[in-house]
Amino acid sequence: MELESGVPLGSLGLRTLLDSEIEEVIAVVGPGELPSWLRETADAVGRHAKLRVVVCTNSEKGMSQSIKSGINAARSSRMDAVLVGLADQPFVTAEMVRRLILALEERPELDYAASSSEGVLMPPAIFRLSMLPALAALEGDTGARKLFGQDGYRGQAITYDGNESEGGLLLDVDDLKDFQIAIERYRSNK
Amino acid sequence: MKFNNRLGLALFIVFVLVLAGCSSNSNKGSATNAPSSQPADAATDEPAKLPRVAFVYIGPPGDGGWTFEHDNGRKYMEEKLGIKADTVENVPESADAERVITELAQNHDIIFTTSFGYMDQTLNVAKKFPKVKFMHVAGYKTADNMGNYFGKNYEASYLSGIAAGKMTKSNIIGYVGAFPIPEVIYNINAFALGIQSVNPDAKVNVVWSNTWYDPTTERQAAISLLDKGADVLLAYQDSPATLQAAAERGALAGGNDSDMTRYAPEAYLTNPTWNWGPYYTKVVQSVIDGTWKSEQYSGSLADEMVGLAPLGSSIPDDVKKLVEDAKAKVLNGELNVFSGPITDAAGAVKVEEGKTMTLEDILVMDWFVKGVEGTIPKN
Repeated sequence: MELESGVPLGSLGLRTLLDSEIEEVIAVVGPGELPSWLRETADAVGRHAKLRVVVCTNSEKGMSQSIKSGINAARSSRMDAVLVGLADQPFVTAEMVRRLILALEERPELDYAASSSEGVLMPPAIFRLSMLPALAALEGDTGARKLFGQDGYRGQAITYDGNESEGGLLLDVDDLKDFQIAIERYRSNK
Repeated sequence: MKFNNRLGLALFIVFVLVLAGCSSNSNKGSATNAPSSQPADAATDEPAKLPRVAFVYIGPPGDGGWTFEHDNGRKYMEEKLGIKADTVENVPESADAERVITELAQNHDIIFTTSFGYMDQTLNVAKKFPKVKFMHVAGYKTADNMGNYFGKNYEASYLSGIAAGKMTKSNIIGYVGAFPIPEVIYNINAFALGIQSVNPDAKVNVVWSNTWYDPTTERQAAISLLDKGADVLLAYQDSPATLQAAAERGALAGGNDSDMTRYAPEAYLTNPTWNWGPYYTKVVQSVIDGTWKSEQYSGSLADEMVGLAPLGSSIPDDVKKLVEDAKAKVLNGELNVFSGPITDAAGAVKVEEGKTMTLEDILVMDWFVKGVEGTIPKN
């Protein structure tokens, strides 16, 4: 799926993460899936060494499995927190990533910080290590959203409702209609 | 409060590729469908000056053992040759591996597939991409553009057995094996022969985990052996779970593939280790030089592809000397692990006195030596 020729949908979000101050990006792919644009994107921004590609063998059981695969892969690395981003959110910016990191840095009592639009918390979201067991225990297709607002975890929402442009930053391409919106936004941003 | 990870700020992202409702999420060389029927081959006729190198891993580099050492080998090669290789982790030994390898073959010049179970998939892709070179570990099938490599880790398994045989008090030694394939079987046998060389009364009790990397399953298997009275364990697995389980019970254990001292220093015995870096460097250099050719390479203690981890701190000096002396004999040819007489678990003579098994016979071993208790399920 390309926003225009040579621009795969997922490459924008990946580029944002690779360009950020985050040290390592773990791309979780389904079994047998290895999009060439993962490496091509990393090479294009000179961040080859920053990217790891991990196969989630049971991704058909839902997003929780993909998150688990990423968490397991990340365990061997030293880290302060884990930021979850989605390939179908092409308009996440470096500033949005930075705001998430700052939220945890400035408020040590927080367990997570998540993006928010119209009152709904969503990725990209960042989780302190205290939440890794909960992330690893997710089941089905619920994803990390299930953890937002749960008792025992303190979080902060970073809202993007200021204007139409800002709200579109969190566009999550789930169907062809969303994809068309994404194409139009991409073209208008150029 | 700034994050104070070792590099100032280290955040690791799980970048989840989810495109629900949308089929392929890539248009270029997608591997979501069956392996490409196109014989198209992205490699140029001439090898690139710096070839594009890829590694396929069965697990994560953080397993601490098998993939950890392959990844160390990759890093060694990268540093020596100034190449940045691509890796794909946690690739299952199934048709999915073939899709991944197919995808990699479209934009790499040489691919290392680092698990036995990738053998047929690697060969299938090699046939479709004749200009790409493939290196498969631990298998036995080759092609003009596919070689394989492994090492005589059974030499180090034998040495580990000497240490185990001297340290056991119960004379029950446990072994957590991954799969009942020759690679694991001949290592169990070598381990047992090493034990018997110093302690003929000790038995080796084998449990199969049927997994290369699943710490939970490995731990359970180890516990079952400890429950049967084993006071020394070894494992043919990719994680330190066996060692960690033994440490909790005050038993001794080794792991596999890498020096696992750090996981349980006081419970550590020793185990075979791998050092892939120099070989990876040699192979990739041959691609650069245009001299690569398919081969079946078998490393050993002599060329240091195979090693023995330092014996644990609780191993007495006299045992360490026994192991070192035996190692020296292996290196000078005085000691051959699979020299007769060798009897199998059923009592049949498999290797007569004065005879030595050939490497070819070792690599297809499907029987236990006498003193090993366990079954070898038929496929």
